[in-house]
Amino acid sequence: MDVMEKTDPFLLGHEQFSKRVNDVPSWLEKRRSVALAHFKVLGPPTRGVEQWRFTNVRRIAALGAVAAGPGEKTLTDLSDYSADGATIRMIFENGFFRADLSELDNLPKGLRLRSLAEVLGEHAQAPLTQLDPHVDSGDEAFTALNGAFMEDGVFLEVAANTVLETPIQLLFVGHAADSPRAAHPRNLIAIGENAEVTLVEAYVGQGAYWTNAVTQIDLAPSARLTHYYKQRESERACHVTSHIIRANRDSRLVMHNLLTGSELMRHNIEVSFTGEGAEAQVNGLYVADGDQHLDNYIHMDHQVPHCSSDQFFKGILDGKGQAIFTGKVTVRPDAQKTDAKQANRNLLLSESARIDTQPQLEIYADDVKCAHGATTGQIDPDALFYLQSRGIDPKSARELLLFAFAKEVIERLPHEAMRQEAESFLNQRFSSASLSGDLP
Amino acid sequence: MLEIKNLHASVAGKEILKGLNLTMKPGEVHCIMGPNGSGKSTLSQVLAGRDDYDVTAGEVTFQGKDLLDMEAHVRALEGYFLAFQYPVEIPGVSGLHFLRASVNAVRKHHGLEELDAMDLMGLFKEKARLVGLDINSLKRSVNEGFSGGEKKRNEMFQMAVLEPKLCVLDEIDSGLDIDALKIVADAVNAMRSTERSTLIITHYQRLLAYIVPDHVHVLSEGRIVKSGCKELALELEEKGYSWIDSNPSMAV
Repeated sequence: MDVMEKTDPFLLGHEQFSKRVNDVPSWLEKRRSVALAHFKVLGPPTRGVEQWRFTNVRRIAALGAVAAGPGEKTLTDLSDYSADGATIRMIFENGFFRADLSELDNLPKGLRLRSLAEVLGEHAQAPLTQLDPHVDSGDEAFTALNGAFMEDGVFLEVAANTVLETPIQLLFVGHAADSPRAAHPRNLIAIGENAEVTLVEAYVGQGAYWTNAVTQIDLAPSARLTHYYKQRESERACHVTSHIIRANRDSRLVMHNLLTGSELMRHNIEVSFTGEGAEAQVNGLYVADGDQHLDNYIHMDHQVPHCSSDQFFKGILDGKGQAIFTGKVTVRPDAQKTDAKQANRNLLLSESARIDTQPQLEIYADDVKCAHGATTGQIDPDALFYLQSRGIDPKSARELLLFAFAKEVIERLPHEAMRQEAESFLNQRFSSASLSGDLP
Repeated sequence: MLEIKNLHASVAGKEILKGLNLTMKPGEVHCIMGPNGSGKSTLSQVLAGRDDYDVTAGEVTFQGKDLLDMEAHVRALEGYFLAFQYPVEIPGVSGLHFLRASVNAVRKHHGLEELDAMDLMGLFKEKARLVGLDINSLKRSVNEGFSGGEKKRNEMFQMAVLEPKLCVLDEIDSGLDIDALKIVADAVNAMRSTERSTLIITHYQRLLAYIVPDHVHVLSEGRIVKSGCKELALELEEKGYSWIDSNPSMAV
């Protein structure tokens, strides 16, 4: 086995971590050691594993990121990072809660928003029930690794029938200290019965670091969650995240993914439909240029009848940028009347950009609707010429067309502040030299 | 206004224009007629700066400047306007957004201040009336989902807004019913002025019943083989293009 593929580079700082947390409740210590053992058994993902066949984790290993600690506080200023229209903000630095930078005063009734570290500290005897042990024992090695380092993150509970109009922002800021840092935030989100909320989960930062996040979301019957996941990590960062979502009866999830950051990203979305009538719509836009590698792995697991899932992803690839879109749909034998859709459209702007898109359908029920489609193309030269023939210079014409392509995803964002922020970010990105492309 | 001398152009190695000459003065309306494959559309595309075509010889002077030396968008900024035979659909770009970028690019080029949203709406409303365009249609994506006639009306609207010096209408009449044809003709006639020239490129003469040209040229095999006044169009209609082909002596 290649040296770089061993577990060591991913466990830097684990010794110090163990010393630091050695007074934790025994149930938690056991959870962590089970997770660590599981990670070691699985080993870091290799391209021999089907779900990882397009992504080499060598870049993460090469970072040599050391597990961050709660004492390393250097972040003082959030002015670089948009609040996306949220007035409730929870801020994390390298995976650790920064109460001083957060805005959690006067939380509305029905909203429980705290740091996981705090909540864990209060569960000395009995395990925290919201923390599902099955999450760590699955086949994703980095999720197990996150479990081995579990210490802090978001703990959010929305009580039944609570409806919140303004979004809540969960902002994760990463950065290097004397050397690259690794953050393993674990986020537990539970939306109560018939509650409705909008969340922004944003990852930003500066310099070289690695984020390995796990976000577990439980939707109670008839819960409605709009979740905006914004991956805008530093261009030298690696980012791995797993969204593990359970959709109960008649719940509704609308997820928006805007994926533009990091040099390497692996994003898992796993939705388990456990109650009839649940709906999940997952929209996304990824933009990769330079040497970026963005891997999206989505799994809609239809376990019960009458649920619907809709995946709608678009991508823009330039330079040597590479993206992967795997849209897997499982329809289990009982899941009759499932309606599963997926679409993936890509623009390739350069000869060396690359997209690997693959639908994977595993259907074991006979009365279902499943549709999928993928397209890959270039900027339409006729459209480019038409704009130029009206006096618009080639660069502006190109930007106009790129933005037009992206707009279909952006305009679905739930709040004006989010749309405007995304729009101005993308316009700036499209006008930068790095997205200049070498094809018309 | 426009002087084309000995223009040769080819696409994918095949020569389409084989020594074309044409001179247009300000205020004149010219019509180029010719059968399919004679090079009509190639001419309009070459003049607009489409880079799929190679100009292998000749020169084109537009208002005293070398047209062929200009990038496509600069030609437009300088006042060249091509109304497309097949206007392009641009999903996701609204007509308003597109025309705002276009109008302000032209104004900037001429050292004028850019127009703000209010002034632009005023301009658009005025020109929309001229061509009978529903101003609300500008909120939709450019040409997307519009009928053939509506697309041509959009072209006329853009022309009216941009007020070019030279309007080239490439088969603007193709696929139009008589009402749509009249709209196009009315727009062109309304814009006729001593400062502006118009080049109509067409297969049929029916548009010429509404727009009366000063000169008619017959294009065949990549060259203009006959020029005359508007009666030439009628003669051509009556005798068919084979009349030209069977009279090679006509070649100038």
